Amino acid sequence: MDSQQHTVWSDRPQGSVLAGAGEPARPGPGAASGNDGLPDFHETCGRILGAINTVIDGKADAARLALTVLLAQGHLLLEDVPGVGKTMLAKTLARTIDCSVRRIQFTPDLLPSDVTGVSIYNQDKHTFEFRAGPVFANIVIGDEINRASAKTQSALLECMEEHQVTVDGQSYILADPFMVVATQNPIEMEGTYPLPEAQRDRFMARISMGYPDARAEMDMLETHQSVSPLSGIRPVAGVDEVRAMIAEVRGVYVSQAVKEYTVGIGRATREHPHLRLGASPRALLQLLRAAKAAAALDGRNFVLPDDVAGVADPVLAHRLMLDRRAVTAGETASSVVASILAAVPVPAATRRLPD
Amino acid sequence: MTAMLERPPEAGAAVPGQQLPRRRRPDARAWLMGGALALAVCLAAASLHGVLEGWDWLPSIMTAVLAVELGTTLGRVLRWPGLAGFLLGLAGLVAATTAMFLAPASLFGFIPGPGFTRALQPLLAQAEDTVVSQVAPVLVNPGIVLAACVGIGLAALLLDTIAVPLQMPAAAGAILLAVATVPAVIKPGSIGPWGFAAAAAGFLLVLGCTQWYLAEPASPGASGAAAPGPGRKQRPGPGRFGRGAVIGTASVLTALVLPLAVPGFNDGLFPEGSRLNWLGLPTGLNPIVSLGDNLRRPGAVGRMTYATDAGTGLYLRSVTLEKLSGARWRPSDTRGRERPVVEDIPLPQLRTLLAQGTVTTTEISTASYTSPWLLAPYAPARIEGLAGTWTWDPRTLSIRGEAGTTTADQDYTVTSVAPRLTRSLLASIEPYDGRPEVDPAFSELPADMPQIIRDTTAEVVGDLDRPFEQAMAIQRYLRGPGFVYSEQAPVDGGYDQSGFGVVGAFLQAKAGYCVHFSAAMAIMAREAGIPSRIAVGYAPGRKTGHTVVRDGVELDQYEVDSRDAHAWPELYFDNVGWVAFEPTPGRGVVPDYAQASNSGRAPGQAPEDTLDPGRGAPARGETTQAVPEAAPQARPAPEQPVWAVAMAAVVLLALLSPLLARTARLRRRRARLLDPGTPAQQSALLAWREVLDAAADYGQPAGDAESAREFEARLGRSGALAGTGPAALGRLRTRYERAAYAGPGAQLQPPAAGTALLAEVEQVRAGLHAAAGWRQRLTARLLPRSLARSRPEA
Repeated sequence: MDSQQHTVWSDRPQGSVLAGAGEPARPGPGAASGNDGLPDFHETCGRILGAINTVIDGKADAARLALTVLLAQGHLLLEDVPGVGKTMLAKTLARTIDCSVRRIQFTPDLLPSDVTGVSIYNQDKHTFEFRAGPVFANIVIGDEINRASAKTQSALLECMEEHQVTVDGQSYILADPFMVVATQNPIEMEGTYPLPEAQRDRFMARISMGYPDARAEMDMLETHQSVSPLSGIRPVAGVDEVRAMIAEVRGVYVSQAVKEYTVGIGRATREHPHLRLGASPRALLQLLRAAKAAAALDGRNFVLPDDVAGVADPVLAHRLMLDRRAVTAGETASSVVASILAAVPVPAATRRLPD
Repeated sequence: MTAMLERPPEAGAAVPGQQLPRRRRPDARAWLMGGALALAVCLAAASLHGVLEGWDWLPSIMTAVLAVELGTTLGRVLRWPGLAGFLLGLAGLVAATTAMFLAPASLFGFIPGPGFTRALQPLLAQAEDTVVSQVAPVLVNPGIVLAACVGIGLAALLLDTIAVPLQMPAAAGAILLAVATVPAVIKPGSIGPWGFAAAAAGFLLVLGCTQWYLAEPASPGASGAAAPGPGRKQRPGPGRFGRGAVIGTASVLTALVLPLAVPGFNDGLFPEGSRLNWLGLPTGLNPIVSLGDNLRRPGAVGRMTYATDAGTGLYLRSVTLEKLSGARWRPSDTRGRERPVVEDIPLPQLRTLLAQGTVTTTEISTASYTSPWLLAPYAPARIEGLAGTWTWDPRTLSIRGEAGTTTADQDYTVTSVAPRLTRSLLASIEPYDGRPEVDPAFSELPADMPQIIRDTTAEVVGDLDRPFEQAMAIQRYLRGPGFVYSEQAPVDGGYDQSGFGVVGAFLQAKAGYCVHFSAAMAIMAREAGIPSRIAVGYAPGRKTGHTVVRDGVELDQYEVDSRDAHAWPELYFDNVGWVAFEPTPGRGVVPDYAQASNSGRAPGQAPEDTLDPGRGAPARGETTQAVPEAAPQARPAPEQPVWAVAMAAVVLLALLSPLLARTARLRRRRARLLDPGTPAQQSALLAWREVLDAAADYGQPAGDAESAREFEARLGRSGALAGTGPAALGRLRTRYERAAYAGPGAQLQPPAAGTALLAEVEQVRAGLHAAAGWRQRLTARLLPRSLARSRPEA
């Protein structure tokens, strides 16, 4: 891995940094079908996931979730021990899509302007020119975000929330689609600034990669011995395609019952005796958006309660704060989410029927 | 009452209605809890009405209970340790009772002061006197109310301690039960359904309130009262209180209604009937109830012996029933009339006959026979060798133990005097003219007497005018060919009780045992104008073959046990007094004077009527004594099969009702699926609902928190679905999901026809059926669980 200090890593020429702004959106691939078929959408997703899986063995779920977050216009937090492929996943996702990708290696001395960009005085023209920072890309990989100072983290998080950068009173719109994939290392604690709870809320989902199983690990040793697996990757989808897919996701239908179910889960987290902090309204919004993307990935144009339940753990777990007693009792946020999912009733559509 | 049952939800409803004050201030909650406990105790104590006359005592008891709860709740509100609350409650009780009963001997009106014990003693003595000497319900006096206040107050204190500091509200029910048991033990049947329901409602109130009260952190001081944040405990849903109230009401109502349907529990809620005998033999407080049970009991219990110089077996009389107008016959209240047995019992009405009367000496050993009434041959004149306190009633000469004295293990000698009665003497007696020497209770008849009694009496007595002739005619009629002795027929026919309706039923069915025969004769005699009463006791029994020597005279020994339990009528004749008759065929001995003459007036008379009473051990029992030509047509045989068939049909229908209900539901759904007018969306939902119901029937109900996919996956994993079931289930599930969750536009795709849906539902059902064991299949048919779906219906 490159070891530049607070430098910007990019595998594409600077020119396409602002790609995407103002380009007309192509009609969505599945827009004409009108039902839950979404054939083009499904096919594109299949291509992207297939490409990712050639690089990262045995992590199909993580790849799928990463794509879900991308399509739901959220940001992704990858949290795990070093060496399990966090950065690899981020890079692979970025490369399978023909879009601009920047990588920021966070260090304690990284400044906010190193992320957002800076105005430089042009002596020829006697004007200040804005030099866009690495955040101006479709996919921004923030490596080891917890090593940067709180100030720099905040700058990134502000970009994530507002999709724009303001320097010297001038606002610059970020690329569309825009997604931050941040990695965080929970082991290394000295000299780091773990994201506070409030800022973790900005990430739509958190994935723990986990170790691959024995078979996948064998395959990895076999194939990734000599060549970098990334080098074989070619983009399988264009930015426009992705944009269309995102529009498609927005149009996924959410029924009253599913909204009820989502609210039910949110309320259950707030009333759960083992939780000090439950899910915020923003968390529910993101939960439903992720569920819509998951439904679309599944080839449906409507959301099922199962979609909500399927993304509930990655979307909610990192936002919940456990009671001290629950922590000592061995509870984790994931186990609490599981218990909530096992208890919140699924609104039955059949009950409105006459018998 | 219903209002009382509704109390728990009211008290708790404030909790889930949460929005503004996240929780009620703990003080208010503690006070509510204390109030609920006090109310529960007062409700249970209301059943004391059965043993304390009137309601004047209730305010005092309520004051005492409130004082106790005031103390304990104050302790809780001040966050003092549990023991302090207990002591405060105790102090409250002492202060309240002092203020109410002993104010003159106190400081400031409520603190026990000088002379307290001196003032207390007479009250305690009064209470003791009341308990010992009065028969419940007792008249209210300060002593007994003081005792009740202290007792109930202590019960309230215990209830409070067990329910709140010890957090065992269910166990605290024992205290309420103890309160309600006091009247139940002293006077059976005195509680009644209302008393029971009140106590039960109180218990439910305690359960509900403690559930609500204890659900909060026990020590609000520890976690800080200001914890309105997200770390709250999970609260019960708002529907829970309504459900609790419904369940509570239902269980109380069931407890009230069930005893009516269970045979043997026919008198009050704590019956002295046969079904509760494992706790000990009935004490015979209501002799009629225990009598029938004794007769039906296969083995003999309560064996006792007597030796007499009468030369023949004797009727041992225990008690008489004379108040025949009530709903149930029981020995009348002798309160105020009884006199202690110390010396001879004077027999005023026999004085003239004493010279020519027969004097009989009888030694009786009661062994295990336990009853408050003493057995004695009529008419007892002197009793020696008794232990305990006994009183006798001059009206009936019944001898009754007081203050817990019973007949168990008594050996005593009775000297009885009876007039020497002959037919000619009795036949000469003029009709009774209502002279005041006989209590009017012996002639009373209720206004709503069944018509059949009047008709039968008029028919039997005809134009006879001499009372003895009338009595003989009645006895002859009852011993006649139409009547059959049967211990079981009244039970089968549903008239195995006491009361007027029973006599009417008996005269119709013409089958019964001694209670019915004697009651019929007593009532018909009253109808004819002869005062009467029913004597309850024992028939003469059998000779043991042993002899007992007393004062140089050999006495024959007889034995009697529960099978000899008997009832017979006694009729009053002027100048002669009470004369026993024997209308029951096949039991006991017909007295000399009451035997039919050989004039041939009653050709159908049973042969045993001519038995010489002096022959000792009379044969008894239905089989040996059945009147040959009377037995066949007497039983109400033809009616029974009809009833049996009807009952069987009702039971069968009840058993099949779940099956029928489920089938009806399935039919309705089928019809709607096949109806082309049903929207496609509804069809898919309906089909899925039927699938869920079918799965529930076969023991695989869908959980509340289970989505359609999870349900399908679980069913697939569990192997409860065989054949083409999984595939069909998958198709149905997809349709259901689209119908339930997809947007309006998505319904355009060609919907499945109702027949196809129905076929798929049937495939799933078949798959479930194929994978199920025979027991599950049977349950699915006969007890479909889907009828009791737990899923709340909006």
